[in-house]
Amino acid sequence: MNNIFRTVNLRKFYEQTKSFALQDLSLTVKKGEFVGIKGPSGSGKSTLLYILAGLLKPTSGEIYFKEQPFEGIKNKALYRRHNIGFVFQDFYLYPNFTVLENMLFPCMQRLFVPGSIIKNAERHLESLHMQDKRNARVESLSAGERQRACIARALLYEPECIFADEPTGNLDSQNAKNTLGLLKKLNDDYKTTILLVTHDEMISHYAHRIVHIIDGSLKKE
Amino acid sequence: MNIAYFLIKDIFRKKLRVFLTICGVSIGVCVCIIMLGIGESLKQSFKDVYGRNQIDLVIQEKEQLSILLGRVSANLTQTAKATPGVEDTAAVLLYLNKMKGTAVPVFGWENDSFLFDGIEFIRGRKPAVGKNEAIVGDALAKSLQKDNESQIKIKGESFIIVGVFKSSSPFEQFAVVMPIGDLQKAIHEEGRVSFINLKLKPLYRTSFAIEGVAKEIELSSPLIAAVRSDAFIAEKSKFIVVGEKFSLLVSLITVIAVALGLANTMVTSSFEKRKFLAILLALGWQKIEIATLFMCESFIVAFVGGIIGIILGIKGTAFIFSMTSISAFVPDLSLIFILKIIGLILGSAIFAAIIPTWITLNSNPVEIIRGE
Repeated sequence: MNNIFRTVNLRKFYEQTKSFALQDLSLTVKKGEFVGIKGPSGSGKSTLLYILAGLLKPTSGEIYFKEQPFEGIKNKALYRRHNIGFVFQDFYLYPNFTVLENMLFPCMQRLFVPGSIIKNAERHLESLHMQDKRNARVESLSAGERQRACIARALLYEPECIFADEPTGNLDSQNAKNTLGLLKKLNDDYKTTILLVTHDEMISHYAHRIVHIIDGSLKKE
Repeated sequence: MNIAYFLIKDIFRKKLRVFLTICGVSIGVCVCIIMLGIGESLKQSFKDVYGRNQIDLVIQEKEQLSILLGRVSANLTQTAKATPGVEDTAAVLLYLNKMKGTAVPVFGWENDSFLFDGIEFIRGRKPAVGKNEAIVGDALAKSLQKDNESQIKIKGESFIIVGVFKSSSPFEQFAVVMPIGDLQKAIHEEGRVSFINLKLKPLYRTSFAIEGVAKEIELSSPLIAAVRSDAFIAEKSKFIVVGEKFSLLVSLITVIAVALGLANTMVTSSFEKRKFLAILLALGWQKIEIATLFMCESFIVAFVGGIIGIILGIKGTAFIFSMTSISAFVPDLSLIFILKIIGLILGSAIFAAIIPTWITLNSNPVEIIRGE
């Protein structure tokens, strides 16, 4: 497998807290890998995801995306749009809008959303068994359904990589299991690379490998 | 499904807030229309009269700013007519008569005046000389009809209304026109006129030639000035609309208040949506697209409010003025004036969008997502 991400001695210092969120973190993620990232709260797990997404700048260190230097990517927003799908613990679905409308938010800045994208969204809803919820308002969904809608939104542009930041944090064990199963299926079926930050012990059943971050450093793989 | 669909659905999610903001914008625009519109329509009114009749020069009393107080000798009409380059003349006597608590302009025109060509008779005929007859503008006729009046009184003398005319000038729509001699007699100003309009021959309609004719006419009397019609309009309309500057100031304050109100709504909206906007950035939206989102949101609210305000301004003020019996000043607004108002609205919308855009784009999306 080719490397999709590689970090070398990555450091992130937060001025506000005067502390290092990441310290000399070197990690390689291969294309199609399902990597679980575990660690205590505040250990730097989410910071790593946001740095790899280009939403945060590292203090020092190197990042490579498909072995190309990360600094070479001038438009990080477009990089995220086409390569990264985000799944959040709190879902962040927009109230008063339907599931399909929420799914289309990543491309809603266009003057007109092409029919092909809408068809794509509907296909993903079907694969996530959400087709009957297509026109349901997100407030009417259960927590499990909301997380599936969130995953469906992440899949809109069929990204190579999904970043999931504690996606099971607000779910009961059955829904957590279903969500992890769905992500695993995406990984198996489409070879989507998955970086999943979690405290959930169940992750070991789904991920190819687990990395532990403690005090900003990689402890063991 | 597109950005407009999202914006409209999102904006009208908070119905009461949007309603109140739109009301604020509408009222602000309405005030601007009223304040600026009166002056604008009066100026337009003068321009219409002078443009329509192709008047090139106006003879008036030297250094007299008031169109009502200025007087020149009626004999100057003959002198002007004899000046090379002058095609036609039209002496006008203007008097402001009190009718039902309102100041109504009364024009005295010569019976063969070309000014009659600029009005359209709806009914009746031209007033005959020496028979105390007059014609009235459509708006004034309607006002008089309410009280079943068929004559008007000027300084105690009665004049029978023998015709009703329509004019493109709102100023004339609420005016009385009668033979100049009859008006001179009624107001005891025989042999005097307010000003004399001059039409030049086509060959003399160059700047240089107009100046030449003006100088020659001015030589006939040291008490008169021959001015170009555009300068005359500018001077007289400035004097008539005494409160023009004040209107502008009030309108400016209103526009600022509208812009601040709109900005307040936009900032509140951006704070409510800040997490969602951070998510949009995480999902691949570019900062310029977020800025466009705010701009469009602000434009939609301002546009809806602005359109309602323009309609209120035009229709509503007509109603208000008719109630206060000053319908002479019903705004007759030009397209350019409306475009200026739309420009002010759009300017307010841009101002209102800048603040939330700046706040959003300068905040850290990761901090917002994490709720720190």
